[in-house]
Amino acid sequence: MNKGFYSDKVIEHFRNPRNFGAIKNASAEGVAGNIVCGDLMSLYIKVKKNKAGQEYINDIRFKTFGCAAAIATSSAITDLAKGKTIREALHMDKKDIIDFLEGLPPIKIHCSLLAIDALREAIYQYFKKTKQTIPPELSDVHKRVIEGKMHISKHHSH
Amino acid sequence: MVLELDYHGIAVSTGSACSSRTLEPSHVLLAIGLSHERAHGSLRISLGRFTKEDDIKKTIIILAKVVKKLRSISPVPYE
Repeated sequence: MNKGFYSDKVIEHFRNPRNFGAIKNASAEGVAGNIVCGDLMSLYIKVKKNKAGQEYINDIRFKTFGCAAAIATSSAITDLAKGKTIREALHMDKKDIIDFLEGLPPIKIHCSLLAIDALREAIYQYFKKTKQTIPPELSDVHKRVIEGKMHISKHHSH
Repeated sequence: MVLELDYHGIAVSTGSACSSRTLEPSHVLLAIGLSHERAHGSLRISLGRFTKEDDIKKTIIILAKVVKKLRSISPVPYE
């Protein structure tokens, strides 16, 4: 019935998601989306330093409430970001996820952006916690994520 | 849920066909006071003249497993 709507890779990641669950003592957590829109994604990252002294994502896990595409993009981003340096992870964009999943239906493209936002928000929270300079584009993502949450309280008040 | 159930040979929908093109939850479910997570998690299951009691029993068992799996992935707390 859903043949053709989702790629085989999306179905595969939805049915067998990688790296789900929380990380105990995570370095940071990034939450994006909201329940009102039907997609809520939490990404947990554990940051360590590699031999070259660069900070990298040693472990990454997710918890997601949402449709099959939201779960598949969450799973995909953990697969893609694991082992990357923070700098490399910041260069990822939604196209990396869409390509990795061999395409997403147009109505589900926002799920790939949600995963990128959650990752950038996690890195924002990590920079904030470790008192590092926060690049302006990360602050923009943070602002968007917070505005998404404001959207919830507005909806719940009527 | 729809996709997982489909995999097990059970065809259900998330709402009426006339609103299947939108990602919005049912305005009726919201109007009767369901939370957004419940409204987004709703399923519409229809019985046909060829549906047997065993089909219903099988669906209940599989649906419970599917919900348990998806809840284990979800950050939303469940009572």
